[in-house]
Amino acid sequence: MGEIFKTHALDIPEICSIIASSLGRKDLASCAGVSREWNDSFTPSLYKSVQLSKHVWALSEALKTNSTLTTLSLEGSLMGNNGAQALSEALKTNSTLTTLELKGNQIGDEGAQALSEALKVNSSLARLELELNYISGNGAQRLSEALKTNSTLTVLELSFNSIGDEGAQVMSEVLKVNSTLTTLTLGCCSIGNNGAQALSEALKTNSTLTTLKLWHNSIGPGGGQALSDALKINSMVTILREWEWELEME
Amino acid sequence: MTVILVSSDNQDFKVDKEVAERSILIKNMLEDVGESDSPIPLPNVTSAVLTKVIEYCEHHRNDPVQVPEETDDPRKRSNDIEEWDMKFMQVDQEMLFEIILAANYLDIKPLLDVGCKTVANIIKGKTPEEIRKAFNIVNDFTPEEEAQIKKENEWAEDR
Repeated sequence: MGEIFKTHALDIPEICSIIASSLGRKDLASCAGVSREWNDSFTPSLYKSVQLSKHVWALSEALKTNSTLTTLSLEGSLMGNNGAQALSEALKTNSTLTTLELKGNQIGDEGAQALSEALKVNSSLARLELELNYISGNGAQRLSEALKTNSTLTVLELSFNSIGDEGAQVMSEVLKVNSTLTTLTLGCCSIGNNGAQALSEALKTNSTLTTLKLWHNSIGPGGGQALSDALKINSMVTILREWEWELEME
Repeated sequence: MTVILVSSDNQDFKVDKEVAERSILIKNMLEDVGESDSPIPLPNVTSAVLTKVIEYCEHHRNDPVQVPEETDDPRKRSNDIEEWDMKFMQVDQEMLFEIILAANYLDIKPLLDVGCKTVANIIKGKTPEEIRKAFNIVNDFTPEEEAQIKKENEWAEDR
């Protein structure tokens, strides 16, 4: 047996995050300033330490110039509309963040509008998770405006927002012109027959979407038939209408 | 019942099964092979480190296996290292990091935690420069990068 390659404990991300869990924000900031390696190891923990909305503004200021962070998870931080606005300002200049997880933040339609403004100019974000954010048809409308021109976002998660048929309709308009979005999740979004029909129309011409999640909506037989018909024309897309299907897939 | 652990430098360590089983890795191995006298090779652990790890496992042989997290806020649980563990961790830094690596590899969660807390306690309250000194790390940032990172993380300092 040959010599085992020597690893340092701090090279292992799990170990760094255990160490980081015993450190406060100020200490984490110091760690991030030690060296390039330490910066890589401790910056994620530092940003993760932001749990409360009061820090979102400060965080956004940092994001404006940050050039290393690629994933920011602020799930369940309840930052609200103001927090979303602060983040959106940062997204307008940030060019490295590719994943933004904002599930459960009560950003509402105003927050969605702010993010939409950011998406019009941002060209790095590929994944935006906005489940459970009190976004209605209006918010969806705002987001759709940005998605018609944005060409980097590939995954948009909007499940658990009551965007309704109106929201589904504006999203279908997006799908007719957007050619980058591959995954759109609209589970539990109060979508009915009309919404499903609009989406089916869009699927007939869209050729990039591969996954559309529509579980827990009130799509009746008419909408269901329309979706099945669309699938006959578009064989690229998988439509998930049952929660169970998704569990099997993932 | 005893088991034989073999360190990377081919030294045999005879330890009680219940001591060896503080390591979840070894516990699983023993469960997989069943009753067997064959020695267990640990190619990632030197005899010096294995000696320390066994010392820890001996001392903690009667601890409940899964210690539940006592507090939800991880930021509040740094200094609570038992006195014995604190003394045990008074080793040079190379050994400290070796023990952490071994605990990670052997899957001995309490030892891994104690090791990491010890490192965290060294870091606490220090400036980046002081941390570099403490761990003998070379500052490989350009002055511009260093200034930028300082600026980026200013928000974390005032609270």
